[in-house]
Amino acid sequence: MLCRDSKKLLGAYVDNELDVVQSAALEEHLGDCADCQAFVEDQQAVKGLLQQGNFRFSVPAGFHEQIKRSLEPGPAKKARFWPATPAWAWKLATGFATAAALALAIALGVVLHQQSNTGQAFAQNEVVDNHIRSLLMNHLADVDSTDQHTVKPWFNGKLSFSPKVTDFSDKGFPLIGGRLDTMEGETVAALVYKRRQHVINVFTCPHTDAITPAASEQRGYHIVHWADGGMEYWVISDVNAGELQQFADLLRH
Amino acid sequence: MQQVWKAIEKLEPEFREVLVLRELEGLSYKEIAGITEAPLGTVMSRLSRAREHIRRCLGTEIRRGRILHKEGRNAVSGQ
Repeated sequence: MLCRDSKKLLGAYVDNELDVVQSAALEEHLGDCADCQAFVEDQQAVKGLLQQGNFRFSVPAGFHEQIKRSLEPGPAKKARFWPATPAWAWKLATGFATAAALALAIALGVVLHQQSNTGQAFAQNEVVDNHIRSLLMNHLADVDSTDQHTVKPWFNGKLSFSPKVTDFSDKGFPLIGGRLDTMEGETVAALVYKRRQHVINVFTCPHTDAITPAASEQRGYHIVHWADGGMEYWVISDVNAGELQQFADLLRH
Repeated sequence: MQQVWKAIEKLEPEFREVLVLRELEGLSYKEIAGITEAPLGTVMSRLSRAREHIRRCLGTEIRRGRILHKEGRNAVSGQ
């Protein structure tokens, strides 16, 4: 096997796209060739990074309805919810007129738009790190109380704002306490809830503009994010997405 | 992760396309070839080159697992 020809095959090997015979032949070669082995490791490392990183894009509420509407028969309608779908994504879509293609092009536009929303992506990454740290350090609450009338005033003097604190024990989401945390250099309120054995962290701070609610997933945690009424909320837990959405809905109303 | 974003942004559209379709959408090579209307061999080659590009942008950080360790450090020691 000639190494210089095998790069594309090595990529396919890493993706499990080769048939049994090709894989076997390649594996034999890899046993003897350090360069190709190193190449495979690099490919696997990049794949690993992409999979574990924040590359699952947030889907705005109403996204799927808007795709359905765009795909309705009639004159070609440009989907309007994403201001800057790159030109090449549209070329991809108009290249062939299938519903799947258009949906994909829009999805790609969403991904690349998310790319330029780097602020959002980093904030989300920080939310995940904060959540993990609170669990690992076993530092969930500085004020340990299920009573919202104890937790809320605890924040007075520690923050420039007063977070809305509500206990939802009667709905199966008991408040267990609160603490301070940081996001993007700012001190934020962290409210801690439980859903059975699952910990839910709610990070909140002031935010002028409204942000449409979006659900996403990162490193196995489910996240819901929105802003309204002058406050921004990041809700994160390992509890399943459905229950987290239920909880988020409780918070929003 | 910021470095990975930057690396992806630097990719030419046709390389970014196959990377996104594979790593985010989880499509097979055959499906990607169909959607992008490119031959299978081209898809294979673009994908491995796209990853190679990212690897090069990140320099030695990947090999030493430093990006991974950095995130780990954040979470564990709170530094």
